[in-house]
Amino acid sequence: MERVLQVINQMKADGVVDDYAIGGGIAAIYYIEPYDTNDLDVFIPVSAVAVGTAGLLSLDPVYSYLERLGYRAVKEGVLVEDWLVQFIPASESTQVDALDNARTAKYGETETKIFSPEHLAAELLRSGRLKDYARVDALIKSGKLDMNALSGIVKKHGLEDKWNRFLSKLEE
Amino acid sequence: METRDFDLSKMTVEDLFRAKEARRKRLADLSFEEKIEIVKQLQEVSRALAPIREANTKRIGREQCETSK
Repeated sequence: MERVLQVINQMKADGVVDDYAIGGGIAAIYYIEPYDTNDLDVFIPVSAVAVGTAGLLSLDPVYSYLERLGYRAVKEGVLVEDWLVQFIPASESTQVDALDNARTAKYGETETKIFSPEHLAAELLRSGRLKDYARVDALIKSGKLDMNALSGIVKKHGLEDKWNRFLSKLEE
Repeated sequence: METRDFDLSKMTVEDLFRAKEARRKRLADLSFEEKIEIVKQLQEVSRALAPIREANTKRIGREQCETSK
């Protein structure tokens, strides 16, 4: 994993992407107990992948860069040192906010950026699958969430209905 | 709940929930590196079980087809 993070950091240093932050399962695992997940979700600014006046998105610059380093595209990502890395353009407002407010984390000697627990919870609420709700529940129980901050993010992105749906699912 | 206290006959459902919560907390407090090591082990288990899962899915599908005939 450390080598994967070094490759992504180098990609940023080389100007392929302006910024990045880890979200998804690995970000959740940073805060809660580990579970089986096989990919690393890396959120990147849309500006890094927007092409042409129509604003079509292409991950070609990212994929080409990694291919030059010997990493090949597999399924919906790139296999980097045994980890399937998915590069996700931050198109939703919660994702952009999460990217802007990502915190620095350390893996071994390598620094990386990761969604804050509150932004991660908001993004999971937005996504709204049952497994996402389970992660939000675990994040709340972990005591690592600032509930006031989460409340602010929920309001900022109009996720009140999603929050209510989450609460009703918990009661079922 | 400590190991020396483990006595199934005296265990309540609340004890089980408490133990599960304590385990969750213990795992959540591990370092990022330790957690990723566990994820890698879970990935190996999942890979090893994949053929069995696939065979089961096919078998259940076949059985459902036959039942619906």
